Amino acid sequence: MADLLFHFATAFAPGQALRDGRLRAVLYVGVCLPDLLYKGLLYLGGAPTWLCEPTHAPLGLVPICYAAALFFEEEWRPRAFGALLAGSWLHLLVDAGKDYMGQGVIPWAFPFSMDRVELGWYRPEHTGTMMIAAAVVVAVAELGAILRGRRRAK
Amino acid sequence: MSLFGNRRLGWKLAAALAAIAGLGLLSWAKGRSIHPSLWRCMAQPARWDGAGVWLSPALVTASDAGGFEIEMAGVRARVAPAAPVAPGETVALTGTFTAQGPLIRAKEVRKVAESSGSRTLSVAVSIAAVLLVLLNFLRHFAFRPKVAQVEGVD
Repeated sequence: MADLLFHFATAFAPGQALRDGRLRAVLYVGVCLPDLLYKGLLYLGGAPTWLCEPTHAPLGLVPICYAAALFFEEEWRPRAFGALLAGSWLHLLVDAGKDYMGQGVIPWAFPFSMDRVELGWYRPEHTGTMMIAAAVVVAVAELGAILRGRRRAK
Repeated sequence: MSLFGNRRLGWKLAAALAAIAGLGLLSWAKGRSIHPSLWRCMAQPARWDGAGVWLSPALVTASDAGGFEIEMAGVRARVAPAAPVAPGETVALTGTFTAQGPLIRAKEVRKVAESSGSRTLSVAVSIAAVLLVLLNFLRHFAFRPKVAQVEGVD
């Protein structure tokens, strides 16, 4: 499975294009949200696996992100909803790349269908390599942001 | 009425939470007959006869020319045909559960190469990444009550 550092890296790099640091912060939470909810329900809540599946379904994440957005200030809610949902869907895109022996990962049409899709690009044993790649991406993106900041200051 | 407005905020949140709970229950109801876990198959072999299974991670406890035996969560099962696996190895497999035996007719068997050490590291890195994301979020959105300033009375 892709660890959360890898998921974070997939949002960190493109997130540098967002000028609003608050929006980036919400995007980063969004990209971690599906696994936070899934693992939380499964291990802390003792919930059955299938009960947790909507956290990894594109439509299942819509009410989740909407509910979370309602806790922001009124004028900020649409942006919070958009950033949470974008981050969550980015997480699903990365998870869809897994190799689950043809059993599928993402219930793309839930609740209308229980069919799941996978791309089969990486296996659990690739986690170590992916963590290293993620750390490199984060470091390069951060360095780029620092250099851009210095150029603007000049 | 704006979807994100403050009007009837409680009702909006309640509706979102109800939708989340409903989707979870729907997923559980539709999904529990898909890929039943090993203990359920062994507990009710007749009910799950012919069911497709996907078992991971399964510990190989014995191996011979006709097949091998696996253990998951304290439950053991026989798998056929034989595969190049040895006792002590961890595998992921797909196949069909057969009540006669009972037996699992494997379609694909794959060794799980990830060691417990790398799994622990992956979890630790994920937790660290989540903590940093949440700290960054709190940096931007923490509630900082302003100290009430009272105009001095001469």
